[in-house]
Amino acid sequence: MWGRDRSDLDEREEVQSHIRIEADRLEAEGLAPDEALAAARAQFGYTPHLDPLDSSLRPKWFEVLIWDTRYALRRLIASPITSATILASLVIGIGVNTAIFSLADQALVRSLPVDAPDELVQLEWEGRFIGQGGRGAGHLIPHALFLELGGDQEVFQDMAARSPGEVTLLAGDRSERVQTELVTGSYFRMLGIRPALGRLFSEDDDRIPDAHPIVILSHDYWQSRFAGDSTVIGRLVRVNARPMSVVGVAPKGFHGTDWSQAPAIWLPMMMNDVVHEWGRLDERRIRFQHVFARLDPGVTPERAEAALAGWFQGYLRADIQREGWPDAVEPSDMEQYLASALRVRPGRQGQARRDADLRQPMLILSASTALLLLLACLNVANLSMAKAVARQKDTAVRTALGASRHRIVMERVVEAGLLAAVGGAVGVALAPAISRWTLSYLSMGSGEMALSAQLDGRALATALGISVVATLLSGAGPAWFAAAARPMGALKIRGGSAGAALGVRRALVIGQVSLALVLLMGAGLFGKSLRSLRSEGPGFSAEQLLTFKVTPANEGYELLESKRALRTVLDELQRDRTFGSAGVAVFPVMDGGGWGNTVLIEGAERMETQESLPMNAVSPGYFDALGVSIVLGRDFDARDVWEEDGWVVRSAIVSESFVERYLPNQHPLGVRIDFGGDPSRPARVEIVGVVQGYREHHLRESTPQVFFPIWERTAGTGTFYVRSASAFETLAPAVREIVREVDPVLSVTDLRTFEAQIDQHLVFERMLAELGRAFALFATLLGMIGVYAVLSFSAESRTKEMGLRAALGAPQRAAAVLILGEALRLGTMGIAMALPVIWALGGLIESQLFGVEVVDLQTVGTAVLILLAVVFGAGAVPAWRMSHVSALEAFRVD
Amino acid sequence: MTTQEKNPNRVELLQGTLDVLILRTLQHGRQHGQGIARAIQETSGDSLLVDHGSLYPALKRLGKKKWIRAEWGVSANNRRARFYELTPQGHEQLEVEKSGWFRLVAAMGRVLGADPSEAQ
Repeated sequence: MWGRDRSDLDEREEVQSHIRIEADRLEAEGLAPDEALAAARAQFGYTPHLDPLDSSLRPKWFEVLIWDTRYALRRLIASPITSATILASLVIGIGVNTAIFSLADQALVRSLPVDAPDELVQLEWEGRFIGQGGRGAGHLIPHALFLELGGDQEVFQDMAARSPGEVTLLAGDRSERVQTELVTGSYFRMLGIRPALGRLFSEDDDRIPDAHPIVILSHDYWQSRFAGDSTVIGRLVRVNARPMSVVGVAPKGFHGTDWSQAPAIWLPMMMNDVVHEWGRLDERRIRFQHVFARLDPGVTPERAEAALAGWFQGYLRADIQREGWPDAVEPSDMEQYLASALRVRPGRQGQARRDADLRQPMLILSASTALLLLLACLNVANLSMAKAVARQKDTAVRTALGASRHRIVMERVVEAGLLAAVGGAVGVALAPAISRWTLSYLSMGSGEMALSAQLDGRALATALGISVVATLLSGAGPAWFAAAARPMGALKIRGGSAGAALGVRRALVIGQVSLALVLLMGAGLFGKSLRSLRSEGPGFSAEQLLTFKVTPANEGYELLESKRALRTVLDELQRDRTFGSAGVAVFPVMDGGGWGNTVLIEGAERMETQESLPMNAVSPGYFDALGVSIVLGRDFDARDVWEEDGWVVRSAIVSESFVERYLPNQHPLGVRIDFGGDPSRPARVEIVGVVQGYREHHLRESTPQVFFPIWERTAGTGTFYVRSASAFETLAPAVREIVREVDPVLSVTDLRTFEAQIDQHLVFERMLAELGRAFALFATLLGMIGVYAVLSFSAESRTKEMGLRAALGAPQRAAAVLILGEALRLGTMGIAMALPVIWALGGLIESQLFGVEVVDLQTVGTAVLILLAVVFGAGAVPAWRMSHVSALEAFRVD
Repeated sequence: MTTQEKNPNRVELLQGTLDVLILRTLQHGRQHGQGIARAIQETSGDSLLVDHGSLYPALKRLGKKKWIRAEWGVSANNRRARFYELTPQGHEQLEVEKSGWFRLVAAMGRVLGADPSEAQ
C-alpha cells in the first residue's frame, strides 16, 4: 500500500510538471501566463483523479456523503431480509439497553433531587436494640434519639426524620389507599424543597401531638387526583377518617426520600397516631423512623460518626437509667446494647436499602441486557460480513476499474452507520415503552415507584455511545474485508478468498451460541425459582383463597364495637354455605410489616428469645382457612373470647418450628410464655396448640411464630381469609354483600385472591423470570439466524465439492449429513464455551434463586436440548438445499 | 471525453498505435512526457494525439512491459520531470512493430490504391 501511495504522488507531480512545461512553451510562443496555463490544461485533457488542480471541480465532502448515503440506501433495500434482521438486532440491543440503563441509573446512581445531596447522610443503629422491635424496614431510629440528638450535636447543620405508611384518603366522593410519609417540620427545609403551590411544613406545624391536621400533596398526585386544580389549597379531605386540610403541593419531581415508595401525601410527624397504631411518639422502646441529616460544611460522614460516638454512648447509658427500661435484662443483651454504634451513612440517594432488595436484581438485569446487546452486535457483525463476502466480486471489479480503497471502505462505513442510526433512533423511540413496561412490574410491589420512563440526557448519551460502538462493530468487518480484497482472487469462479472470512464468522456464531445458552439458562433458573416461590412460598396452598380487609376503626368505630363487627362478619361468612372455611386475623399474611416481639419462655428453664418473633392475632377457623394443620392440641374456640374492652392474654398457639427451636425436649402444651422485654413478669400465657408453620412476613424466611386469639384483644382492623371452590367473580360480590348487611358504612378493601397478593411480593422475581424469558427468546432467535447464515454460506462455498461427490455417486444424504455435522460442531463448541462461564457467573445470581441450584441438571439439560434443536433447525434448510445440488449446477461458471 | 473540439483531421488512435508512436519518439534519446506529446503532435503534423493526458496510461503499460524505463530529472526550463528512455527490449520491439506497420501500410495501399482494371 505504501508503494501504491507513492506512485499516486509521483503521478500527480509528473502531470503537474507536464502541464507547466507545456504552459512554459505556450508562453514562449506569446500567450499570456494564465492563458498559457489554461491552454496547457485543456491540451492535457480531463484527469480528475490524477490532478485535482482545480478544486472547484472536486466534489465537496457532504456531496460525497449524500451520494454514499443514497447508494447505501439502495443497497440496503436491495437485500431487505438481511437489512431488516440487522435493524431488528440493533433496535432490540439499543432499545433495551437504553431503557434498562435509564432505570438502573435512576435507581442506583442518581442523587435525590434536593439541594446539595452530597451533604446528606442517614443514621443507622448498628447493634442490639432493646425494645418491642422495629416497625418498618431499613435503618430505624427511635424518635427520642432524634429529639435528643437534635439538641446536642454540632456536626449537622440540620436534621429530619420520616416514616412511611399507608392511609385511606377520602377526597370529594372517592376514597382510596395511598402512600404517605410522616415527616418532621425540618424535613422540607433541610432538603431545600420549595412548594409548587401553597406552603410546606415548618417546625410550627410539628409541635403538638395530634394537633396539626394538615396535608401536603405530591405533585403527581395533585395532577392525577385533583386535576392540577389551583384552588386545592384549603380543601378538606379525610385521612383515615380524620378531617384535614390541604396546605400545599410539593414541587414536580420530588418524591420523598425513598423512590420505591413515592408518597401521595405528606403529614406532620406529630400526626403519627393517625397513621400508625403503636402508641406514643416518644416511646423509647419502639423505633420506626428514618433519620436524615445535612452535614456541616467540610465535615465528612466519618468525622461525624467519630464525633457522635461519645454522645451515643452517653445516650445508651442514660437510656438504661430511664423509666420504662425493662426491669431485668440479660447481661449479655445489655452488653450488646451498650456496644451498639451509631453509623453515619451517605444519604445522597435517599433511603439506604439492603443489597438483596434492589441492587442485586438491578445488577442482574443490567448484566443480562449487556449480554443481549453483545449478542445483537455479534449478529450484526456476522450478517455484515456475509454481505461483504457476497459483494466481493462487485468490490473487486470496482477496485480494478480504479476505485480507491478509501472510497470503498467509506461506503461500507456509511452503510453501517445508516443502519446504526436508524436502529438507534427506533431503539431510543421504543426505550420509554420498554421502561414503562418494566416499571409496571416494579410498581406492583409496595407502592408507586418514583422512577420515570422518560429518558434524560445521560440515557440518550448512552444510546448514542452504543450506536457508535454498533457502527464500529458492524462496519469493521465489512470494511476490513473490503480493504483486504484482492481483485483477482474474488474474480475467480465461486469460492475464492473467503476462507478467512468463514473462520471469523464461525467464531462469531460460536460466541452467539454461547451467549444464547447463558441467557436460556438464566431464563430457566429464574422461571423455576419463581414457580418454587409461588407454590412453596407461603408455606400453604395459595389457591382458591380469597382475602379482604375491613377496618371499622377507620369508619369511626370504637375498638370494642369494631371487634364485635368483625366477629359478626366472620360469623356470617362461616354460616354462608357459598364459602368453605373462613378466618380473620389482625395482621395480614405477607403484607409488609406486622407484629413481632421477643418471647419469654418458661420451659424447663426460663429464657427469652434473642430475636423478635412474628406474631399475629387470629380467629378460630383461621388455620383451617389457610390450610395449615394443627399438629398438637387445639385451635382457638369459644373459650378464647374477651367480651370487654381492652386486652387479655391467656392462650397462645405456636408453630412447629417454635417447638423445635425452643422446646426441643419438652411437651409444648401447657408451657407458659409471655412477651419479652420484662423478665421480672411471670409468664401469663399458656400454649394450647401447635400448628404447622408457614411464612408470615417474607417468602424466603421461616421463623417460629406465635399466635394469640383475636377476640381476646383489640381489633380495629381485620384481614379475612376465605377458602372456597367458587370463582373469584362470584365470591367478591357475595363478600361485599355480607359486609354491607352487617353495616353499610363498612368498606371492604384489598379484596383479591391470595395468589394476587403473593405476586406483589414476587415483583422482582416475576420481572426477572419474564424478562429472562424474553431475552432468551431473542437470543435464541438471533443465534438461529447467525447459525443459518454461516451454514448457508459454508454450504455454498462447498457447492463444487458437493456436486463432485454427487457426480461420483455419493448419496444425497451425504451432503445433508455434512452440513448437519457442521451445525452440531458449532452448537457443541458454543455450549462447551458457555458452561464454564455459567458456572463462574453462578455466584452472581445465586442469592436470587429459591429452591433451585445454579447447576440444576434439569435446567441445564433443557437449555442444551433447546439450543441443539435450534441449531439443527437452522441447519436444516441449507442441508436440504445442498442435498439437492446437481453436478451440473455445481460446475456452472458464474 | 475531451476538452477540445473534435478536429475532423485528427485521427482516432487505437491503443497499440500510441505505443508505437511513443517507442518511435524515444528511439533517439530520453524525453519527458510533455516532450513526447509535443514530438508526436509536431511530427504527425498535428493530426495525431488528442489529449496529452492519454499518454500516461500508455507510458505505464509500456513500463510494465519493460520496454521503457523512467527516471526523475530536470527539464530544460529547470522543472522537475520524469524522463523516459527505451530499454534494449524496447528497441527490439520498435523494430518489430515498424516492420509490421510497413507491411500493413503496403498491403492497404495496394488494396486501396490499385485500379481494379489493373488487376490481372
